[in-house]
Amino acid sequence: MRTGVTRIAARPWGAAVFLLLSGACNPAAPKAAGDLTVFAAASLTESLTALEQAWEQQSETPVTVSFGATSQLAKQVQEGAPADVFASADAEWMDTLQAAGLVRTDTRRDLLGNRLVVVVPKAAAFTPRSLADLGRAELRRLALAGENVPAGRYADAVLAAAGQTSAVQPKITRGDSVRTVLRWVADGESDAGFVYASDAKASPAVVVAFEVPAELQPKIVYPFAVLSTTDTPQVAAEFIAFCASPKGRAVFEEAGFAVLTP
Amino acid sequence: MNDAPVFDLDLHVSLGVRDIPLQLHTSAKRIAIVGPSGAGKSTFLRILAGVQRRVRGRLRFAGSTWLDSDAGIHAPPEQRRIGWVPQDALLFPHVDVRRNLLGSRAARPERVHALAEALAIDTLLTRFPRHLSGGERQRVAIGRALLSEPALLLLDEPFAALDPARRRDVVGVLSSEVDRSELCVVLVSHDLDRVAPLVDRCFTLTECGFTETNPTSDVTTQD
Amino acid sequence: MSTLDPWLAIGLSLRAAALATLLSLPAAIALGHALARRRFLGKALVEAIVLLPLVLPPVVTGLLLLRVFGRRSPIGASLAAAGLPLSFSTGAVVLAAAIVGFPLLVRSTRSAFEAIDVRYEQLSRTLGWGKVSTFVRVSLPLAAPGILAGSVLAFTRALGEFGATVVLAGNVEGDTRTIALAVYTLLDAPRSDPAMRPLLAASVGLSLLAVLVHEVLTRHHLERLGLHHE
Repeated sequence: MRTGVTRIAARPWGAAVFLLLSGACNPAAPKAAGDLTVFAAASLTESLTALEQAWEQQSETPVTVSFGATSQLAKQVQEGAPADVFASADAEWMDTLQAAGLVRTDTRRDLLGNRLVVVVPKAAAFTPRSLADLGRAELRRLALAGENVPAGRYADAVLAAAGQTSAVQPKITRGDSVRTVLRWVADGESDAGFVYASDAKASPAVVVAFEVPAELQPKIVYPFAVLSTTDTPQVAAEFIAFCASPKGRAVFEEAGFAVLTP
Repeated sequence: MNDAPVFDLDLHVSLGVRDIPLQLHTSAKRIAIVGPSGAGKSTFLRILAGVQRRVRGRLRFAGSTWLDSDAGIHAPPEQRRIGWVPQDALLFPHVDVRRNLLGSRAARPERVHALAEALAIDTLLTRFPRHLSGGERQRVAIGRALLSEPALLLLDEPFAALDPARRRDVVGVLSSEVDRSELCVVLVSHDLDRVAPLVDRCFTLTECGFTETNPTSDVTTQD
Repeated sequence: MSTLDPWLAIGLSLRAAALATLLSLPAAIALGHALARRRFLGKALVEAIVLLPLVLPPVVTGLLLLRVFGRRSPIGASLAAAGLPLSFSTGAVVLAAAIVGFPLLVRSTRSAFEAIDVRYEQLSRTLGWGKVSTFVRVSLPLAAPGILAGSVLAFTRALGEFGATVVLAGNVEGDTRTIALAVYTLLDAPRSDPAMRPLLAASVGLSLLAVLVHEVLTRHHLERLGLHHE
């Protein structure tokens, strides 16, 4: 009564190969139907991670959040990455995806606001107090996010509006996300950096040197939307609603965001 | 003999798994070494040159101690004034014949032409070793060794690639050089009849070491 | 609109890779010769350490370098105090490039020396030349084509280095934005940037050229020595 398979499995190496192959047919973590995938801007790391856990306590749908630079995530969506929800750090990238037909426009909402600040390392020798101070010789390296990352774009615009671009140009190093900028300042590799108020709160190794003055403060908006590639539009919309719920708002405010009234 | 020994050695050399004893005490200044192939004749030359590893014991040449393992003495090759002519000539491939001939520290450029002429390689001075025949290379190697003003010449089958006529000429050159400079010679060869003018004594090297042989006897050991 | 200048990146990459290779050569030659010729205690350990940058993920290499040379480290802090901060400078680009290219360079120099019959060096010694003179007069010239080929290989590797560079040197336009970093930055652009074309062309073209040169040199080296092994 020995079938072909049993004969192979009878020998030790055959058993190993058999186990490997059967394991390969049942991979540990593909996107099972119903799992929710969220792409979110790096600055939402702490808040969305907390909300992720809260969500899973009250819903049977597991959620996976991928954090990164908005620009990188948006490019991935353009290339066909299977995400259900996109939380962008600026309206432009969401517009880009929308123009490409990748967004369910009726689900888009501007959920959060933020403020741009300049941070310095905790034990900094020199603390700038204004945008003009950034041009001083004591400050040798200034970190900004990349030219295509929202935080980087905002910072470029602020510097241009204040007429400081040429003064700081030679000192600028560009990180691929706002979190990289935060890390550089926290490690002391950079003397100062432009990050969001929420990021400054997230790291104990940096202090806010000053906030970008109100008249130059860019209109920072975090649009959330359900992507058109999703096969679970209902659950995706529920997730966004959860983020906008009182529970969600409390978490975001704690992290330093401004919650925009819908 | 009450003459002070010229070659005075009491050595062991490790070759692979074999351990070869080498003992020789002779006041002869020019000796030939014969013996079955693989017995260690070339190794013996390398020991004298100072480039052989894993040698223990004592080696003295003409009163200088070149090796004394117990006393931690190992004279480096550049201090021994050796003229080594290996079996395959080993000319430096990246320079021409002339620069090969002048490749020693002690070489004097004014001697090159006369010696090259005597060895019949004066027309080859600008050629590179890869364009020379085996015999030509050997003659250049001999020239290089002679120009280095050695105290001891080590010749490893130096005439193997030469035809009889050339062999006669080269032996003649070597002979006059050796007489002129009072050189000592260790010659490894299996054709002793032809080289008789160059050597005083002959030794056979086997697994058991050196034994003296009559140089004019019929030496038929083939390598 | 991007402020990214592709020609600046190309020039920086070429300069940094060339400098990195040149600065590594003396150490690589000495090490290659020692590994080829000598037996010494701890040789296996030395070989392993030299090989490390080749097998480590470049980002990890960069992080290790940052720990040693970053502003918070003793070495980095004293450099910064002297006005020569290493991290996030062109120097860091050169350092990262040199470190990742080093294993390739040592491998090539070692092979080059191993291919030379040791008896040439021994013969040179009997001609009255000491170890150093022999190295300069005999070993180096015979190994030269192989060493050159190895330099080209290390240069190419240095040209394409990314992981260690981005960690140690940041992304400073003009100072540390190499070809690889520039391409990486441009990947995020919403529409394809015209700066991408010269960057890709330079990267592919230079690498192809370098590999070709390497092949030619290697063959020349073998021919030169092959003819004299009887």
